[in-house]
Amino acid sequence: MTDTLYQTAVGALERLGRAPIADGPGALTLVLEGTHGPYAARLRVDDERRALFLHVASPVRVDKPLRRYPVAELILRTGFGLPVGGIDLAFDTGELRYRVGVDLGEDGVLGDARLGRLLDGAVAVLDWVHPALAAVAVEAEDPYFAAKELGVEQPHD
Amino acid sequence: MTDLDLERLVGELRGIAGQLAARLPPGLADAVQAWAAARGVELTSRPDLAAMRFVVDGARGPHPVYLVARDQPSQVLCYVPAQVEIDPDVRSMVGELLARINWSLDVAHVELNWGTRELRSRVGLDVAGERVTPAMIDRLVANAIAPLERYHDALVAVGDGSELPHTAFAAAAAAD
Repeated sequence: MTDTLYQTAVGALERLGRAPIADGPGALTLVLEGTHGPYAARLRVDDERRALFLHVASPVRVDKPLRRYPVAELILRTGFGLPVGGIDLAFDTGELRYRVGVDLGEDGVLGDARLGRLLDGAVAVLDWVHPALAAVAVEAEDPYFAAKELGVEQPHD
Repeated sequence: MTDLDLERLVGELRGIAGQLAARLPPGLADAVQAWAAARGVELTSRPDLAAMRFVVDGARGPHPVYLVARDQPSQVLCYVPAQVEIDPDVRSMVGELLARINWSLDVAHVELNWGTRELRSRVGLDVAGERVTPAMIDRLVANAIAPLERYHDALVAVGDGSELPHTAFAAAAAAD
């Protein structure tokens, strides 16, 4: 009998040395180690659609509603050019996350390498953007300068 | 609206400019060409190069689609420019709208170049040495086009300053 995509994902995570915990139907939680602390991750598997969705929470939160505008600007400045995945901001709550989705279609295969790259990519982006997110969200840094610190230069207003 | 120039688009991608002339990895080239042939997609650039442009008809009109493949890391990327003008004075409002849109999406990201105001949808796939099938490219393209169809009116209204982002987003979400 063929494994479901969910079973395939669990097996791949275990072979990758992760420790996934079941978190409701089709969902797994796991912790990803990064430079800026452990990141809480949630992998949702849609077997019917044959797709996976990875959300990884940023430890930074934009508590002040007015800071959400410059943080949104920072996300646009730093996200334009990312090849895979991106940072999202919940505008009503100030939560930040990395998100990536993979739609395998009816015949795509989920291998260990592909899943490993998803996880590694999430950590790499969160580690990279964390100082800028913290600076703009908490320390009221200008998003132009915060992005410039990361090597992303687009015109200032 | 700008129809993005392919050379310039590819030049913007980090680490990809020098690979434009590189041949696709054999499996990836086969996958992309088989997909184009099966779907009747007319390629407007050389399919043996790492990037191509074609047009897909959607409910909101034709969408120019850019499909870029690269090696090291092996990825297939799909970009669809939005046919929307963004007033420079309302970029912050557009930032709020895009935050709301992106939080609601599962695969694509809708993104704005803060400097040039180019608005586009993007989906990237890490190949990671595994097989890319025509069905996967179908989904890649469909996922990239979908948010531009669904949120077209909201993007236009917020982009020209005639509507606030939370109301425009709510109206689009309620239309489901």
